[in-house]
Amino acid sequence: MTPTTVGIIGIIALFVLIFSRMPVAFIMTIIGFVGFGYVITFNASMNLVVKDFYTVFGSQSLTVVPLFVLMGQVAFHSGISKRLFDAAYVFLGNQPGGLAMATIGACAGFSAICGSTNATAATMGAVTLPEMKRFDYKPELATGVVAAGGSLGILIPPSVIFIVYGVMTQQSIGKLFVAGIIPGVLLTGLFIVTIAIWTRLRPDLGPAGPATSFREKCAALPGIVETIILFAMVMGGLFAGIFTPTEAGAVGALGTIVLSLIRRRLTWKSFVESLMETTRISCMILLIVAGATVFGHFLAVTRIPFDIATWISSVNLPSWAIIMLILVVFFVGGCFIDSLALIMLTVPIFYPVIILFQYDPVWFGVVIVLMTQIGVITPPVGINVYVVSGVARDVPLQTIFRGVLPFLLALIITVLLLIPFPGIALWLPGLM
Amino acid sequence: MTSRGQTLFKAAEAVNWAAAAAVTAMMLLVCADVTMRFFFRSPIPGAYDLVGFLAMLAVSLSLSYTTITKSHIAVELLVEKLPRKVRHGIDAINALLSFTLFAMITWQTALYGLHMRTTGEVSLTLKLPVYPFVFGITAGCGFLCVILAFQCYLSIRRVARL
Repeated sequence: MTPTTVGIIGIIALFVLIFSRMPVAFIMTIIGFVGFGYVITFNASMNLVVKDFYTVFGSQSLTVVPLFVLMGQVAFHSGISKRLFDAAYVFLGNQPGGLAMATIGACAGFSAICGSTNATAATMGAVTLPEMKRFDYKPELATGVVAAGGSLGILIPPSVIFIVYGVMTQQSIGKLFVAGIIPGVLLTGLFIVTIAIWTRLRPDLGPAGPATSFREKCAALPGIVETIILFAMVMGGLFAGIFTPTEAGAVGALGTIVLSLIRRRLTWKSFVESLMETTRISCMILLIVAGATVFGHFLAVTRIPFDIATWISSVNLPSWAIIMLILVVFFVGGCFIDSLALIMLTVPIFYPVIILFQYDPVWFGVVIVLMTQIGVITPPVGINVYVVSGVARDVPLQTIFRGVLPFLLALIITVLLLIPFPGIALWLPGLM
Repeated sequence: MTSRGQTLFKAAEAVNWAAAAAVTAMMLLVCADVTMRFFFRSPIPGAYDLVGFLAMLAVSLSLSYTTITKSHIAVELLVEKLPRKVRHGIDAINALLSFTLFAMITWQTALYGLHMRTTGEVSLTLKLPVYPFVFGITAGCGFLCVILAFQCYLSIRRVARL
């Protein structure tokens, strides 16, 4: 068998075995190991696995993962989300759908200190769903808005997906983070517009709440101060080049702990819980990166990524059509496979194509994050929808999936805007 | 869960405490380094080396806890629709395959660590020997093997009972 044939068999085996519910990280390692061993030698393959695990586990660039996860976990356990929501509510609550808009605003705020979609959805769901129920919001709007808003967690920095993508493609994590800011603000705006249009069409979805006085508005503002301080410290430090991403993560995590202690919101128990969660989540992420590294090395010796890149360039498709094809693969794949796993599987294949067609790798990172956001809310495997259904146990899954549909449209519009206008993502990092 | 299962869970949790301590130490070390550099213009020598090693320990030592709490990304979509006996059968095969993989990694990292001890490989700035941290991965993967073997045994027993 030629190496290319072995590679194709490996890719097919991967997509079949993935449905056996063995951890994706393990499957990628096993197939990478066996394939590499078959093409080269099994001795070399054993060395490869050990070196890859050793390099990934001790990777300097990946040390950011546990630090930013810890920052998000402490924020999750210390009630920051509630104060963000209260602040957003006094400004937007008297609009039709105002509570839902406030939820989006609070999600965007929480995303600025948390780097994962499910943590954002879980914490915002716990805070905002009871409130929306109290004001007679229909479950489809209430749950849909939390699932979609939670996905902002990975677009607005910090972001686990940007870190992992940056490490895999050797792009600056700081630049990727900064590139997510404007698209994040744009998408937050589009989500709010979506709610405005949807509640105008169907006013029963989210009735307007009571108006608040100027004094109440002022009183709620301190609730967002800590988030602004943390975001300014972490992102400002990164943007100005004072911190490396690891330093930004450590300062952010310690800063969140200190601010929560000052507010007396962090108990020993919740601190320990944050740490246990942090190690669990970080280990899951690093193991999947290690698996993808082994698998990527196997693919590299089969030369498949290069073959695909050359083949695509030979069929004479315009470059926008190539991007569209990649987006379709992400969309369909994202429906069935967890998004982090999907990125790990596909980036080694697509990245050479992107480079060949002279797309900006940072821009592609933002596009991938947006496709991931779509992946976490589309059926049948939409992790955010499952997280929300875990919080709102009385709402059937179909209702939540129906509720995220209008927001899906906003996400697709953002992706399509980024293709002709890459500056939306690239302008800010260009200033660094 | 059986009493043996509980003992294993407790052990995995205890080892994960060490991982949690490593993450905390990482955070404090980096912050101390930033502070020293910023205010006293004298960064902590070797902080860079140590952070990488601490991360390595954190991940290796939380492998077991992550696996026993079923936190790895896996696609449940298809298998959960199958009859119970088939499901447990698949789980048993999965655990066996995973066990084989990690047994190999345990063995190979041990060899790699021994090799590094003989060659006397040290870190860049602190000149710390590297091999103890490689043995950290060996320990983490070795313990994971125990857990995977136990999960395999449980799944086989479930198949036999149905």
